Amino acid sequence: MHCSGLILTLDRDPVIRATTFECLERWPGLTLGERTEQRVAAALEAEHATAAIAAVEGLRGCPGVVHVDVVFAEVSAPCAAEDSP
Amino acid sequence: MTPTTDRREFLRASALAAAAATLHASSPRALAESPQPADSDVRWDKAPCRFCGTGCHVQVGVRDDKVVAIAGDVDADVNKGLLCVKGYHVGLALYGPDRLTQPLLRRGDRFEPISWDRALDLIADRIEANPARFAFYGSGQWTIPEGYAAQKFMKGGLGNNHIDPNARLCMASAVTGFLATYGVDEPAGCYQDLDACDVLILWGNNPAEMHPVLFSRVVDRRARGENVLLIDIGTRRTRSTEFAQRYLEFKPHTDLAIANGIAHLLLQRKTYDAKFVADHCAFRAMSDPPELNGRASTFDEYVKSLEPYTPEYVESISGVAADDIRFLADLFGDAKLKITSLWCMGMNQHTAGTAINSLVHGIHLLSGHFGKPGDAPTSLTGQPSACGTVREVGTLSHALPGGRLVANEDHRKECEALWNLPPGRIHAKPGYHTVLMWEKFCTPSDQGGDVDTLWVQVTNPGQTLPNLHKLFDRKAGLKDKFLIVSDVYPTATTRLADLVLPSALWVEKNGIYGNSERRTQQWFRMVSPPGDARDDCWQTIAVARRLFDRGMAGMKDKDGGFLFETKRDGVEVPIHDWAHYYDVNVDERLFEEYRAFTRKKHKDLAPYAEYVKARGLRWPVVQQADGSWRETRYRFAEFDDPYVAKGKGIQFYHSVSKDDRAQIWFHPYRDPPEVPDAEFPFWLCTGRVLEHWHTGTMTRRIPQLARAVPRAYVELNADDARALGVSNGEPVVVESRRGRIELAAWIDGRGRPPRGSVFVPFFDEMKLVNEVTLEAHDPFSKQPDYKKCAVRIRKRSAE
Amino acid sequence: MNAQPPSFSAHRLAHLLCAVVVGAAGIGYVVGLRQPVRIQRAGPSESAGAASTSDVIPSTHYAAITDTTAWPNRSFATRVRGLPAPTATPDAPAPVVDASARDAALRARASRRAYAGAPPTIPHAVDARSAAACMACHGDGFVVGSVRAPKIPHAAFSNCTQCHVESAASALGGTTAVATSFTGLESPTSGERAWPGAPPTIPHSTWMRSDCLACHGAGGALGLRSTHAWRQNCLQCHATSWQLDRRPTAGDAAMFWSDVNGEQP
Repeated sequence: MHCSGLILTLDRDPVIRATTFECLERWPGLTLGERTEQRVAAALEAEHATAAIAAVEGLRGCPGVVHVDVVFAEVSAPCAAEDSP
Repeated sequence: MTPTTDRREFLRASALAAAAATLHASSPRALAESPQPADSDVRWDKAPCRFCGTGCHVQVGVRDDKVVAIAGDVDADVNKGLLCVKGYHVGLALYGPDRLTQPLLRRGDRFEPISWDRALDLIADRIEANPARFAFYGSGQWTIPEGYAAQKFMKGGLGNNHIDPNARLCMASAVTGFLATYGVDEPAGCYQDLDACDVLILWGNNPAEMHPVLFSRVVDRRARGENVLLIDIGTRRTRSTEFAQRYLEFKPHTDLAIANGIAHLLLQRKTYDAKFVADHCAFRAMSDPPELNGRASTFDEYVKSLEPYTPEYVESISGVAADDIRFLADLFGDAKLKITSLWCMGMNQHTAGTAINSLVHGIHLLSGHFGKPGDAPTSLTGQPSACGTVREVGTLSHALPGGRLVANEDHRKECEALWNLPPGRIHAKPGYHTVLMWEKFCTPSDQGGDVDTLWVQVTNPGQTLPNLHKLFDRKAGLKDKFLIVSDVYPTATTRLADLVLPSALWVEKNGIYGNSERRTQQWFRMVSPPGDARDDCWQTIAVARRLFDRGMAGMKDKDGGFLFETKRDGVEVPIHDWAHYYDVNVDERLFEEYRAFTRKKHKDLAPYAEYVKARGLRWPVVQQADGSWRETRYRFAEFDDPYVAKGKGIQFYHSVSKDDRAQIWFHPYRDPPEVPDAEFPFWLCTGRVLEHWHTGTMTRRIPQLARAVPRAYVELNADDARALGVSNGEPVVVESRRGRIELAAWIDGRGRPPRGSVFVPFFDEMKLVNEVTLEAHDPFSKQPDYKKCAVRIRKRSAE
Repeated sequence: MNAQPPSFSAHRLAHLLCAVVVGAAGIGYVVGLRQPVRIQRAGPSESAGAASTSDVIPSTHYAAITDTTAWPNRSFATRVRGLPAPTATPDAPAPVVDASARDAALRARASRRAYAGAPPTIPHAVDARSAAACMACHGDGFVVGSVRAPKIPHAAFSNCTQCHVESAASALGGTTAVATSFTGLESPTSGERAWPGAPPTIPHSTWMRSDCLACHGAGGALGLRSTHAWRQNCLQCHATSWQLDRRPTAGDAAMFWSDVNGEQP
């Protein structure tokens, strides 16, 4: 299991942002935390680091998400995917 | 809870906390609390600095109708982004708490506020009663349109030539030196000479303090590995001396002998530039009776006149070692070197000012160190528009715009034609020059004092006139004299004023200045003046209009129109009404009118719009075939000056001798009018300091500058101080035959005078050193000598 | 749902490393905001120390001097190792990001300037006879105890007193109170960040302030020092401002364009 902390930066335009949270809330392993007008803190749990990276890429495709910044990454757990390709 | 889920919870919580912390650390709200670049709401625009004649450009930062910051203008050719400490703080000059904000009329010992309407009526009353006894005292800080309006009002309107500026006190001898030598005023070179010279000679000049940006332009070249030989020929050690490789100390006034000594050696060793002299020079000597242009002389007579000036003889007069005179002659005799001479008040405030100016030009001509980048005799000015407004607009009692003269009938006719005036309007007799104007004003009317109303704009004669007791203070007892002062702060002059008018200052109005290197610089009004303060130019036009409305013939042109009539789309704009003054750009209108005067002496100016775009342009600014406007850096030199005929190389096209030649003058050394004696054993020299500008009315209200030099002092030589028993900071009395002041002694201070001489700065209105100075002046330029008179020094406690 | 199965390429590995680095940097940033970070000073290498058993400093044979590097040798390292560890002095060049220290530094800075961008006045008496006197302390700058001589942040000009004057004229008997109603432009407090964690832009003009480390390096005031002064190419990450540096504006560009085309604006 791999855990990372994310900051999602959202578009200012409310029209574009209309379905953003719908997309985010359904995202597997994503826990939404505090939010400000334009940004949302989130924790992402994935099977392993590679999956986490893929998820981050995928999150960028959510409507209304401008940026995804990884601000915390769990580095203590061995990366299962890397161990057994 | 299993350890795994426990750990997962913990990790998720950590991840969320980290993300949240980052979120708040840099949320838009947090960003808003730490402001964005602080000047995002500041509007910036260009202006030339308000202070000296260097003409640095500053960027002025304005917010909420106030100047809040100043920056050096990186795009300016003059200063390339650098300023001096005054320039950096120039914006603060607007914000002294005692700005004058309403017209004030004297009532006994007090002033009472009056309306502008009433103030204009009072002035109109005085002028109308006797236009010939009215005089206008102006300034090298007048903008070009201000000076031009005053000039037109006086000479073209009232037919009265009693208009003279404070610049008479600071660069009149430079003008006469240029006229006598080249037949036309202002330097041929420019500031680029400072980038190119191998040798820089300071003739009684302290640019480290007075023209710091130009001085840095030279000494910073050394930091880049270039060699510049700096020679300081001076009467006291200054900050400039510290940068000089050679310091040649001379006895006051003996610079004439030094210049002659150099010329003597150039001739004797035949190291002068024979070809340059044969092609481009003529010789001149003083006539009898003395006249500015003297009489034609010959090379042989010149050689003979200089014969006595051997190095040893010059040493006996000047105190400069004979070998040092030879050293200077070696430099001038070396054609490979590029030599620039700089001078300012040391040579100008001199009872032989015209002579020494001519002699230094003469050495450069004789040695051929002229007309190539780096080879230039360059006179600096102290005021931002001494060149632009005084020398070019001709706001002098004997001059007319564009280098014309009152005494010349053709010149008067040209001006009358350009101003659309009836023939004969301009009076043929020059008016009173500064010293005479104030002497007449301070003399009772029944004893020949035939100036009874005097209007002062943008200057502070109550502090700067020499021998104040005689030329200013006596006004106090004369009931029928009326002094009008337009200024921004209470000054030593307003103390005796009958009517005080509050003026707009610097970027509170549109303006145009002309600096030391023939550069004309424009700026726009950026903030409102405080209270009821108004532009000086408007004040002049409003008074003229008042007289016009009363039917005074002089205020009409030959078609009956108002002298300053301004139309837009065929409809008159009432610019005399303050509410409408900025309906049009009056500066632009007056400047375009004035431009027509500038061609005669090849001082061509470009249209106003060109100056809006540029950081100043150096005249002649000549239109090119493609319609663009090109400035001129090197006058009289074919490679740059479009008015030099092809193939001439160098052409002095306004030559006094009408043959394209410059005049090499001989002037003998003669003793100054007052020398120290047993009773008054010390030389007194007065001058400026870096932090203050002239009378300090602006800089003394700027905390950073006033704290640096809060009050005037007297610099004493350490040995003299010991002999007098005076210690550092002790109050001493400086006394001449004319007056006395008390000052703190500064020993080994900023400047170090040699034994037997003292120095006092003149910026301090609480310590008026001009109560002590002498009003003796140069016979041609009428400029007084503030650099030397005899004084005695006493401990105050010994009294 | 993330339908794409993850692929395990070297490309992905690079992404992972990036993510880890960014993450660590993010945490470091957050932590840095909360408490001062002290950089551990690297001590002398263990091997050098361990090999030395004697206090006697072995000298280099005269003939071998030219072949010997003059850098700290083994004995030097031994001696240094014996010195007490540096203690936390208030002005040790420890990078600190601390809002109150920054405010204090900015206030002290502002007290010597008429407005943001004005040349500072000199808080001590000056001889003023030569630039060498100024450069002796301010050429490289130094910090001794609580005394700090800031380094000059601009290229050497020769005439220091042209722009910098005493804040109290010591030789002339101190100061006078001068009233003014001028309100100067305030100092900026920090630059803009495009997004959290982005390097801030430079909030001031860099004209006359081209040596960033003069103020933001180890000799700068506490609170203005960079957390990463060792990384010397500041402008690589921190953008200057066209506007603050008073570069030509759009209006000027238009004029230039019309000049080129021979048109009047």
